[in-house]
Amino acid sequence: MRDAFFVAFSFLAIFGGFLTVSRRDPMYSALSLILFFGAISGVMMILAAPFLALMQLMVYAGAILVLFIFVIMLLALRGEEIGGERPWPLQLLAGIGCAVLFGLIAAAMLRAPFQALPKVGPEFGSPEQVGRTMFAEFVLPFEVVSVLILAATMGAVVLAKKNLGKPEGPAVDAPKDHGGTH
Amino acid sequence: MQIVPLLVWAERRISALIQDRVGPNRVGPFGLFQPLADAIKLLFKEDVIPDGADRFLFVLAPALAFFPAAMTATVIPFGAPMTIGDYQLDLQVCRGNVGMLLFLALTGLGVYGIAFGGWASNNKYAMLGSMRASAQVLSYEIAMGIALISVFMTSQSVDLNVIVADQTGTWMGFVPKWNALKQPVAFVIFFIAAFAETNRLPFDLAECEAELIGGYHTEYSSMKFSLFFLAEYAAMFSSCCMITTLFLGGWSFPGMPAGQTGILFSLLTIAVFFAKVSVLLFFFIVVRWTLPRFRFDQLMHLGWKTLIPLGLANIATTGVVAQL
Amino acid sequence: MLTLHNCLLLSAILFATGVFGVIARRNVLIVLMSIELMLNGVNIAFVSFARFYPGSSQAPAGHVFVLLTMAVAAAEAAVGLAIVIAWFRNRKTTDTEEMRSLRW
Repeated sequence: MRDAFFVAFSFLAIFGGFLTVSRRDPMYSALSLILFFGAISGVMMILAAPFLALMQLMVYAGAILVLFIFVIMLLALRGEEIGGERPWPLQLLAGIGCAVLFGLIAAAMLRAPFQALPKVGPEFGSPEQVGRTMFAEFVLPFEVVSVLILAATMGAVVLAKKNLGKPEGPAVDAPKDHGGTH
Repeated sequence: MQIVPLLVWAERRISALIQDRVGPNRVGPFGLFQPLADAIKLLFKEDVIPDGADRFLFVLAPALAFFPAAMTATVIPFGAPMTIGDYQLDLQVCRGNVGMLLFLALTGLGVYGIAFGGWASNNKYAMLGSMRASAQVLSYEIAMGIALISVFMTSQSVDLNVIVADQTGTWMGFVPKWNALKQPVAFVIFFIAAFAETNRLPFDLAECEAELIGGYHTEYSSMKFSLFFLAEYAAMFSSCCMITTLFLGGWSFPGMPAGQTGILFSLLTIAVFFAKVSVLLFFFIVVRWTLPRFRFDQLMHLGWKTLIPLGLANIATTGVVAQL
Repeated sequence: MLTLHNCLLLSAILFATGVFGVIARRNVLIVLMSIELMLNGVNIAFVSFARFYPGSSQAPAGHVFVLLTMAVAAAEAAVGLAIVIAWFRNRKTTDTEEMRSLRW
């Protein structure tokens, strides 16, 4: 049962990822990315990480992808505006390169010793456990990330503002991102 | 889902009351069957897909809007666990300590239906409506999450059952220990954000008739339109359930005897829960027919410059108070 | 089958798909989305190592790092999209081939 779900979610994720990189229309790429994020969330659920699975949905599907779609709508990329693609020999070359890259990563990763699935308690991957680890052992990375988010927020606002100094419409507020939801 | 037609009826009757009209009263007693008649009318209408529309997304969008709205109800504990014989029936579909996060994730997903609907229609007004909606939902979700964090801090859990249990009991014998009284600021923020998340007046900029014709569902007709319509009312209902659970003590009521598991007791708690939800729904409807609509920049300023700093200050205060 | 190797293979496939998107596509929005694909592939690797070595003291660290990755991804998407908006306002294109000048 669990295996079947794992296989199903894995194939959905691979399929969604493939669609994302192969659609010509960015809106369809974004749509495939929803499928992909949902499948990844399912895989995480199976791997006993319910908290992460939901954070995945909240942060990626609920915030980041909405930003993407918002920008696509803002730029009104439709029809001719989408722009050209690389010629197919180059794409083929890129495909071969990525296959080789996949082979290298897989070869390196498969050197990890075979591991039978260990049993874990219901506490594993719960918000409490992740929270305790994060605020006990990883306080410094957490703080660094919060500074990074602050910097990114200011950077995004500065970049997206039409001309600094003049008051601007509310649309520039959108790229600011949920520093608080973590 | 069965609550939706009733809600539509209530909405029309109450709006009529406020505007000193009669409202629908011909079909059935007090016009109760009016929504049913409307639904049948909608089903038999011609289903139009506009020429310039993106057909695939156009068909997909209503389903994407409806699914998260319908799913959110699964995490809400509607009543005390019911014991029938040896079998304990939990009145909550999706148990576990991450239920609250599921609610947040699903409300975040609700925006896709609106966004794709507006985009696929290939219509200026629909597109403007859906852009407004996505910016609005994104902004107010943050305010909502921040308000929730302070609730989690008071209850010391993200499990909805624990949060409800934390709100049982009273102060001085009659004041219930509800989170609305422990965390009034968070309550107000969450309440306002819930209005914005469900696209209700005074925040219904996504579909304001005066400026955008019908907003993101301008081009929709027949069954697809009714799915959008259903999604909106279902989202309103589940938001009210969530406010009740988080801030108004859920299914508990003051003077409740502890440790009860009988069927009658369970039914009583369900009745209490729905009584609280009905009061909230009544409030939602009254607000719609009394307040004017915000301007879009006012909406964004309220979200980013008022609610979010207020919520952050509230978290800090809660932390300090908890340490004292 | 739920084994460590299969999880890692999944993560490698997703990562390689993301890399393909970054090199083969010219639309900058799709390039940004492909970066999200790569980050998710890595997240899967983190989570599966945490799942298969739950006894080690470092197991919850995998989960923490996924959270940190998500935060970084959010920041990256916000800045990246802001750059795209600024670029589109000046050049009316989202084609990476057109992005050759550092200033104009």
